[in-house]
Amino acid sequence: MWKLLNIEIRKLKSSGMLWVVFGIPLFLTLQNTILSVQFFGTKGPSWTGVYMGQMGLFATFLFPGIIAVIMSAMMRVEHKGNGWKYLFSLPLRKGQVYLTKFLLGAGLIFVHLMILSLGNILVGLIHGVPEPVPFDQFLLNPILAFVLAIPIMALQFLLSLIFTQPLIPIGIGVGLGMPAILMANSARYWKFYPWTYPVVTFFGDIFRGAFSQKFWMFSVSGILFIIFFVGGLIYFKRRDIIS
Amino acid sequence: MKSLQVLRNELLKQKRSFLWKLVLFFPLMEAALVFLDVMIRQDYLFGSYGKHGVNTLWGILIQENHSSAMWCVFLSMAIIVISAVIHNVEDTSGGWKYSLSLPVRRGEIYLAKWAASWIIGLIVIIMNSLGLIAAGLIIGSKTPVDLNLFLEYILLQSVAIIGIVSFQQFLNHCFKNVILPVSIGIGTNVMTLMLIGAGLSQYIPYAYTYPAVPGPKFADFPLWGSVVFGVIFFVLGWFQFSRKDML
Repeated sequence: MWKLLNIEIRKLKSSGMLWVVFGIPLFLTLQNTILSVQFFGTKGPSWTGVYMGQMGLFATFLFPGIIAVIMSAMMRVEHKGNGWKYLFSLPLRKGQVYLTKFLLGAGLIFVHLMILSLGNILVGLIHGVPEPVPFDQFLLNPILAFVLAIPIMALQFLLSLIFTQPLIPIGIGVGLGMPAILMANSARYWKFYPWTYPVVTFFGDIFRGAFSQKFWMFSVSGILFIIFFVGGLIYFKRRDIIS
Repeated sequence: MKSLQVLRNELLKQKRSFLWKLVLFFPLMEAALVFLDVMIRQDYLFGSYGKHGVNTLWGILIQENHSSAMWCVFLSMAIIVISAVIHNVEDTSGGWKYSLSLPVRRGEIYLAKWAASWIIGLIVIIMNSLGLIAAGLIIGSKTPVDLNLFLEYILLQSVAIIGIVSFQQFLNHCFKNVILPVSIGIGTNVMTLMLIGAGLSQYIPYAYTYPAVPGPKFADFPLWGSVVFGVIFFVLGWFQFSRKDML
């Protein structure tokens, strides 16, 4: 398993995807350092200003896109030049390959998110926010949002497996993120669209009292994850991937 | 004439492509969302937009579509994906060697790819407006369809995407991995929103979809900037494409 993970990381190294994982959050941190000033009120630098300026946009627009891009890249490595036939000529089980690729994709999204979160804390420290760092808001909320986004990752992973053209799952992923913007603004309907769960969780109880609906969100996400992941695994095992 | 033939070929390459499903999916889904939004909050929206001089259902649909449903951001994302698909069709099938062996200049191929991206982008824009008109007809407007307003909306957006098409096409030729220009595009597109407050967004091509709406705007700067970006990145991309060894 570890060996396989190592091989997958090596494949990604040459694809330039690590720039997306590390480069985008670092650039966002730099941008937030310069621009977060506009979100500070008359009382001066605040953690809320640092967080909302960055995460408001990230949660609604960028996060679904990043998930789609990273999951698509995980499969593109094999789709391109039909790398599947080389992969399956090795003594590996299909389930092992599927799980490793998914874990690596989810892991990269997590790393991306953590760099961004730590970057946000750094921005607050640079601006000299007088209060102590609210780790709940800056680390716990993104981690919970990540967990609630796992079924979305599983769906994107499956779509990236089905379509050999990498841009199709990215297009679908961006498209599915679209309704989340309006739905998240609806007090009544937001919980019926799972794409809103990461969005509201990034904001925590500031937004829609999201944490009061934790049980609902985790239940729906858990069920969807099982459907997408197990469905994807069965599809992967049955499909004649070598063309 | 030859350029038109090359453009036709570019569009033909997408004949059975999944791209067309995305072209329908993106704008109609957005229109459907706006339909639900306006239908549920009609009374509030009439009161709210009335203060800004928007008094018809058609105006409200366009405003909600552009700002609340963030079509201005998603249109850029659609263009990013369309441009990458148009470019990538050669990469996936090793088609560059066939395209470049045709008796046409490289510049014509580059122009055809640019025009194909812009035309498909225009179709996305028109589909979105048709979806909004359908939404208005279902909701039931007291006034007839304001075609002039929709034509203005389509025209403004078609100018706004010129810079994005050129910039994305330039990026597509810079990277071998098609996912990288798409990532850069999506990332920068979102970052541009943050630059509005600082008054810097007009220096980024993706921002020109924000003011491309008739009536009140949440960001206002002249659209000719999109044409300037369009020309600059088109020339840069053309120059780079002419010199690059694509095979």
